[in-house]
Amino acid sequence: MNRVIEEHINQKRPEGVKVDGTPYNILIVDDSMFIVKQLTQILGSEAYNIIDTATDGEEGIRKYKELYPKVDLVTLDITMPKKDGLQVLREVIEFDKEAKIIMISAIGKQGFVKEALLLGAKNYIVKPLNREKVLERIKKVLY
Amino acid sequence: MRIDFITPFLEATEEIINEVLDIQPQRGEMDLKANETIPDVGVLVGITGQAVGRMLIILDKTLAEKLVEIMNGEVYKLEEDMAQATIGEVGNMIMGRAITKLYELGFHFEITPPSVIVGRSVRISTLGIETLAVPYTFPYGSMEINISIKENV
Repeated sequence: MNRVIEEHINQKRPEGVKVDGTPYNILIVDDSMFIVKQLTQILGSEAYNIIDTATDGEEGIRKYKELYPKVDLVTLDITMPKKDGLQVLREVIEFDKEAKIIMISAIGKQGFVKEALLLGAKNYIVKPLNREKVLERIKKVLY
Repeated sequence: MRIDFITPFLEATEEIINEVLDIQPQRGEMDLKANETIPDVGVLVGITGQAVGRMLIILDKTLAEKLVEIMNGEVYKLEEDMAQATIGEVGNMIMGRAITKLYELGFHFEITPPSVIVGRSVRISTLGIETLAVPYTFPYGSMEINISIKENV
């Protein structure tokens, strides 16, 4: 009976909300104001909480450390000022081996994807961003 | 200019425009140019690696405004930061797709972050690198892709 109730609650629950009713916290690291807006809209539609945003690599690392351990997932652009996404990935993983990071890039070159995954990224999304694709990849990493 | 360098840029342009705007752009006749004038809006992305050069996307005002409106779901003036970020992102996506295709063909290129140019009649020179211009037409306006690439030997 309890399982039936739990399944019913889960069916009603937006993807961005945990079983305890609190939202997953997402940190967006991207220098494009357009992509930040797009991700905020897509993730907001499933009740994910955008805990903060960063527009360059250094700011992304600093904010991850300041917010630790509240960040559940990071979306990370590759081409950015100051430090690029791969460097941010290295430093965040060095700080927190359990960090859940999804790379976002216009470039789908196999070499980049492979390197990011070897460094510890959990998944990779190639732009243009599509709502279903973004939500599916994030769900796969978080659930 | 090597045609195997050019085709991926045109394919990438058509694919991204189709995915973003859900329309099929009509490709016009290719032309060679020595310099270019941007009437309203341009996006410039540099290329380095096995070849050097740049791709310039020239949009007329009505198409640029429509692109920004469709991609954002709301209207922005071209002078606004969000409009320019949106247009720059289109250039970034086209170039990202193009160099991914070139990589699959065995060519290794890198791209620079896009620069967006908004202004009346800005003149761009390629300083001697041959430029291939490809026009596109849409129900909302017109666009031209300018590719200047010189193999790095």
